Amino acid sequence: MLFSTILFLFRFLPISLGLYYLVPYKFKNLALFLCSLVFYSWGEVRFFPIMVVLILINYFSGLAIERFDHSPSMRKFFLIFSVVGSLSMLVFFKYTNFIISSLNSFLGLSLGMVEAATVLPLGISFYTFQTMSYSIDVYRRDVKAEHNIIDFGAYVVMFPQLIAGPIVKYRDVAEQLHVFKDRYTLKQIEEGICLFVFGLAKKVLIADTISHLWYDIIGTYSGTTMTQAGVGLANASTPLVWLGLLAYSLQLYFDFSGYSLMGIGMGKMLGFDFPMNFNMPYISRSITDFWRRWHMTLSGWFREYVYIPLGGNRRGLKRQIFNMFVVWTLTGIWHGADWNFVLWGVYYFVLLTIEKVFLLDKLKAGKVWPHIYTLLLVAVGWALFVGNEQGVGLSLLFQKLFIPSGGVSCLYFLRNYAVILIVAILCCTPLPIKFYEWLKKHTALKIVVVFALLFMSIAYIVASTNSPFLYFRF
Amino acid sequence: MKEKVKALKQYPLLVLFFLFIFGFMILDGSWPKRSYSDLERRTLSQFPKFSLSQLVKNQWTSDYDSYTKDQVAFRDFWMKSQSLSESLLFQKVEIGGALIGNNNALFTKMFGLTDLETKLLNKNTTLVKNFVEKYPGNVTLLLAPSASLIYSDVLPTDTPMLDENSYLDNLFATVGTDHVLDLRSTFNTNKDQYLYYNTDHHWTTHGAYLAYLEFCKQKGLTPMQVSESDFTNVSDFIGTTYSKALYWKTKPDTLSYLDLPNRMTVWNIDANLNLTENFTSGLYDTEKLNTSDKYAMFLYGNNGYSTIEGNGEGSILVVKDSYANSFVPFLCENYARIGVIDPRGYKLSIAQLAEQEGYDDILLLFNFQTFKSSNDLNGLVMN
Repeated sequence: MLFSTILFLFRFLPISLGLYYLVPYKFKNLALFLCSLVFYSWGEVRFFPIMVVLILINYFSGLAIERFDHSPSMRKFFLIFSVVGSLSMLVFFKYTNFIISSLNSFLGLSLGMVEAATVLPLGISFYTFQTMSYSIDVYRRDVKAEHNIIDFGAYVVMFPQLIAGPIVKYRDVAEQLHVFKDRYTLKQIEEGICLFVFGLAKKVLIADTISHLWYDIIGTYSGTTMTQAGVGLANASTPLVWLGLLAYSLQLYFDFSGYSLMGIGMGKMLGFDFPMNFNMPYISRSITDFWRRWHMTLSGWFREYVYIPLGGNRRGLKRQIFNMFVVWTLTGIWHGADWNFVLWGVYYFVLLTIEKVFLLDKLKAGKVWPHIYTLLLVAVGWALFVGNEQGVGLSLLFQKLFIPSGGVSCLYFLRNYAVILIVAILCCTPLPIKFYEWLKKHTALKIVVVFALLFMSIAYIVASTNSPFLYFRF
Repeated sequence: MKEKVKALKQYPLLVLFFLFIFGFMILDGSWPKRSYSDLERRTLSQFPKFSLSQLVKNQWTSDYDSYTKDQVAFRDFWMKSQSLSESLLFQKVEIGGALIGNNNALFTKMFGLTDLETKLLNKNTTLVKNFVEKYPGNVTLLLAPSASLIYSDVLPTDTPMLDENSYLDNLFATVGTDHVLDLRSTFNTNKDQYLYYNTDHHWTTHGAYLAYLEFCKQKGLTPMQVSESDFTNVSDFIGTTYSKALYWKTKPDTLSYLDLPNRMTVWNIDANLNLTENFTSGLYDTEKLNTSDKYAMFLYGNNGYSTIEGNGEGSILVVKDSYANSFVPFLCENYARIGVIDPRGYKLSIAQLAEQEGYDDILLLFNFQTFKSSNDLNGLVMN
């Protein structure tokens, strides 16, 4: 089930929130658990058992790690058992066919694809990372094992962050999961409503509307079938391709951060404070800065569970660079099972290494050029990111971007998408946040703005014929 | 309880939000369900029948999702609001797949061909070419150009439309220009006239009449002479392109038809080409004029096979899409019998029917946009 649907807004959300608020305190987690299971199973009923198994593996491993507190080998065994349990599911569903096709092309084999692994369970990249963080934290004694399986299940499958994050560590919400009376305040719920509606508007009004610019170029696809033709990347002029890449960069940001913000907002409505996931990434002054602002919970996860355990920056520069290489290759492959995502990760490894070694100080001294430098490199990164999608083609895209060529001009697109481009770019700056801070002091106006955005979003949801979903690879 | 109410009073946004989502859910659930949307010209999803097998296939959940969207309360209002926002707020010149001309006429957006369309266009071109070769001298292909080609100058600046001209050139060259009726120059010279509807993808009856004049010229026939006053005009026609865009500035079109006394028979046909009469009537289904789908009045819409008694000599078989529906009535002047095949409703051999019924001439009449995406022309190749 997707957030930006009538089904979610006027069936699932009111019923779930109603249940959650009305049941007696001690049943709140049960209500959350059951509603979330329905949410999870809605799109793929067959994946229900996977979730159950995942919950059971991690729940019992957590208990066992605690139970065998004095036996390092048993503790280690159960840690490995649970991490392998989570990872193997992720690897099976996400990477099996990628591995097979890579083997086929490198070794000249002709192994068949695994049919069961062609559809990715909703949000698997997010919740497997959450369960891993749980087991590792229990192992490190950073957090106590969860004894109540309902509470634990509610954490793993909690619907607000299930599809697209933020990646919430168990220890971030453990305390709140065990607060039964006064879990939420009215103030927190109201804040949650505002964030939810802002997130919805980001996704529906900005991301979806600006996405049409890009689809006007590459065409609209349903799976691998083109349903509506665009002008065709091969026919587009270089300025148009850059404009398209700008639109795609904006779409990706508003889509992803909008979804995260909706998740955070609904978390607050339920009484949980999830970590922020995006902090105006497009105003960054360096790539290093960008990755402190983009998908923060993922970078945080890799830092805590991969980079630092590998030694972080404590074992000399050479080792640090190696550690960064590992983290960025993994970050790349996390975003999608394809070589262009590996390339995308390695691209950031190279950029971050260069910044680490010498460039960062110069960037800090600059004023305007660090912004241009960052945006340009991030956009090129997104070109790598989108390069293997239907209708694109990595080499064609880069050829179009960097070897000036004529073709369909960008005038029509500048005209048709002018307002939405300006709105989107303004919304990348701190302006909306300043506006929100100001709005908080003006209750009546706040109500008007929130409802105006909500109504507009509903109109766009009802009228949408094609709501692109960017997370099917995550 | 009193304290709770007092606390809630401090958070009016919270109260309003929950009132809204709960209230709307209840309203939405009890909202009357429609089977068809006149505004959008499409059937709407209905409540899916639950079954375990459908659930396991994820079909039920996905159907329920579309059901809630299609049957949402105030659907037409939301749709129009979205279009209004696209136009006024975002200042778009393309809404819902329709381009807005600077005279506020609407055009179907066509930036390119999908892989499937490219394939079908090639396939249909070959089918027509082979068909023409089989009946030398008797077959004419009339491929009506899109409104966006004739009126490209009113499209938004630099609109990257598909180069329909070059596709038509290639197509006509392949089929053989002798067998083709190319309307582009006629339409371009007369473009100040009302050739296409502003709200619909069809040509007007006047556009069809110009095409008919050209057809007569090419076939050496004496065309029916008509004047403005011979036509019956129906105002408030709002067509399918409007249904995509729902553009607020749209002004309705006027649909006109030539009221002729000729009779038309619609046939049922079995696999052995045995004909049984379905119904006989005039050329126009005037009841359709009271509905939103006014264009469907011509020839009672798209029937598989029908025949019309004309006032001329000889016979002609028209294989066509809906563009022909407003064109065919003029042929009554020149032929004694006019057969009409719509391949969407007739999947058998066209050649065989033409022989069985003894047609002298054959006219293939399509609009370019149908022709590039139709997968119904296999009847042309069957023996």
